[in-house]
Amino acid sequence: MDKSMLKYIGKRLLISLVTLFVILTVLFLMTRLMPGSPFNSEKLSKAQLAVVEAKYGLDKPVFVQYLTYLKNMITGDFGVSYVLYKDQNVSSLVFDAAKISFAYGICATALGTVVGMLLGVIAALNRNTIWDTIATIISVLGVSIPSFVFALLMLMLFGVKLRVLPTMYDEMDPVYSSILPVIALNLSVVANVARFTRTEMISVLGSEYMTLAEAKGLDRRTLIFRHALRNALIPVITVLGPILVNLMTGTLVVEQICSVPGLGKLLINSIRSNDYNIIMACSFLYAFMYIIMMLIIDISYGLIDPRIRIGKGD
Amino acid sequence: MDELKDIKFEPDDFELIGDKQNIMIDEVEPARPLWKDVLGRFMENKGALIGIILIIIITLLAIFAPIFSKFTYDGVDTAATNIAPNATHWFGTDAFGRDLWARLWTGTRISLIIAIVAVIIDIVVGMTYGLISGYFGGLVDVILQRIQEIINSIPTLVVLTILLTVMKPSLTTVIIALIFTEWIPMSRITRAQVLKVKEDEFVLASRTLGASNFFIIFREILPNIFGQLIIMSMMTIPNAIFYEAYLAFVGLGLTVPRASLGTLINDGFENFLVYPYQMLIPSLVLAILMLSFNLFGDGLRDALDPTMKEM
Repeated sequence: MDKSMLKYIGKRLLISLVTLFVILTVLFLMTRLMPGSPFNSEKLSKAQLAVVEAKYGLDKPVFVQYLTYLKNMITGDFGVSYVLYKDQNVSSLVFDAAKISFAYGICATALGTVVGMLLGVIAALNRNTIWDTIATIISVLGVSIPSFVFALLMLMLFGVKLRVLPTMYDEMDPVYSSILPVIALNLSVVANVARFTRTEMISVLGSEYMTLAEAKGLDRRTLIFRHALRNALIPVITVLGPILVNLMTGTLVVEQICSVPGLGKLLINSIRSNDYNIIMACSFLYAFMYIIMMLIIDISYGLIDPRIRIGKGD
Repeated sequence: MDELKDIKFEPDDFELIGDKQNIMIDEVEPARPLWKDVLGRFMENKGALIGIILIIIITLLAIFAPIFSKFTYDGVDTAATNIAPNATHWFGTDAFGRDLWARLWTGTRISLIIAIVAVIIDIVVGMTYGLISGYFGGLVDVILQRIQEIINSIPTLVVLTILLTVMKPSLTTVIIALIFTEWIPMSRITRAQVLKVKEDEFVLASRTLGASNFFIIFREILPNIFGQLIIMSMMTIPNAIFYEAYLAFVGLGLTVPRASLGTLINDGFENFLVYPYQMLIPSLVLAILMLSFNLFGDGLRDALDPTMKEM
């Protein structure tokens, strides 16, 4: 880890912090300064409304509210829900929802990466054969079919026609009822990773050090696993970033379809009912995750392959 | 020397062949215009060809099908609800008796509008940003890149959430969210390409001849990187289409009674056990549309720049 790398990490951290701050401020101002309040739908008289707003501190000047919010936020207190879950603590609501979403995301990424790599390697080793064609078709379809369409089709086939998998999320049996949504999410990961692994693998197989390794008389297994695969997999890390981001939007919709009580469902419901504190906490968490992911991927890429000078001319 | 004296030269010993033969033209490898090369490579790619044909068919249907249909996309007919596809209602009707053939192609229009909007955003915002940042360099570049990095680390979903706290869910809201984030990949590619080209000799030559910055950017640099930019903007189309359909699906996009592929899929989802055609047909059209744009984009990339082709 040399000095320029540390400097780069520092710079990225600073930018991330600034971005998070900007997002938070804009979100806060937007929700507070706009006409309308979370209590619009409840038929309250002016006096009652004033009482309710005073209870939540919404009657104070926006700037004071903002400072209070920031102060509370640092201690992990994101306020209480106004509409959706009356007076419940937002932090625990979001935390519960996020647990499920993250578990889905991690499962889908892990499964998708393994299957995708396998598919990519098989395609590369059997170039221009029927296996290659099959792998290519799967990856083109996986990139092109929207995740929610795929989820719906899966639901229809396995949940309704064949009746082998539950269609709805079941709190009593979270593992079994999660198979369908995880597989649905997984497809885009498989497609992207397979496509990329294949390209990388083929370019590695054609390189001179592979010819040398072959000339040394190494057997095929060592050749593929020790020499080719290792070098081919490094660049795959770079595509994981965009894939994880895609997955975040994917979970939103798959959660909706399979009625999973995750982060996406919470966010959509809170947008529909103007529940400001939940909107803010969810968006903040999304932005935070996104930024952290980008950061980790950029840094790990720089560490793995020092030849790449990050931040210069892309 | 004596022998030479005996040779007589007549005026018609040599004939002038004129400039019928031009040594500058290589007859072994005749020059072909670039577009012919590109077109040739494109036509060889079956996938890309299928893609462009499907795009044309879908576009024509989206333009003309609603015009020539007896039904309108929002015409409610309570006497004819949930009819399976038949001769009158080619794709059946929904729970309100609205003709799905008309609704489907009106909805496809939205997706195509989004496709066009995505390209316009790419060119107007992304390309300009990248050109300025890459060409002028120095402080301008540093400032523009920092701004870009900050915007790039805001997920589109959060941008949309911010917008939705202020505006009602609608196509405009979605487009504004796209304007905010969609241009970033384009600007990065443009900047990288400009950086590559701007140190070349032909740019230096042009500058020595006294060309203005404007001239150099638009007449020297842009034509040389345009292929890359076209490829990039084609790649953003499927993403944008997906994004709109997806937002409509979760109920943050278009509002009733207007139709988009996403809302149609969502409506069909509500009773897809009983009337699967209501969900399957729009899903299929959406998938085909995205697939076609992907195939077309890939084909265009291979045709314009064979070196970029995946091995």
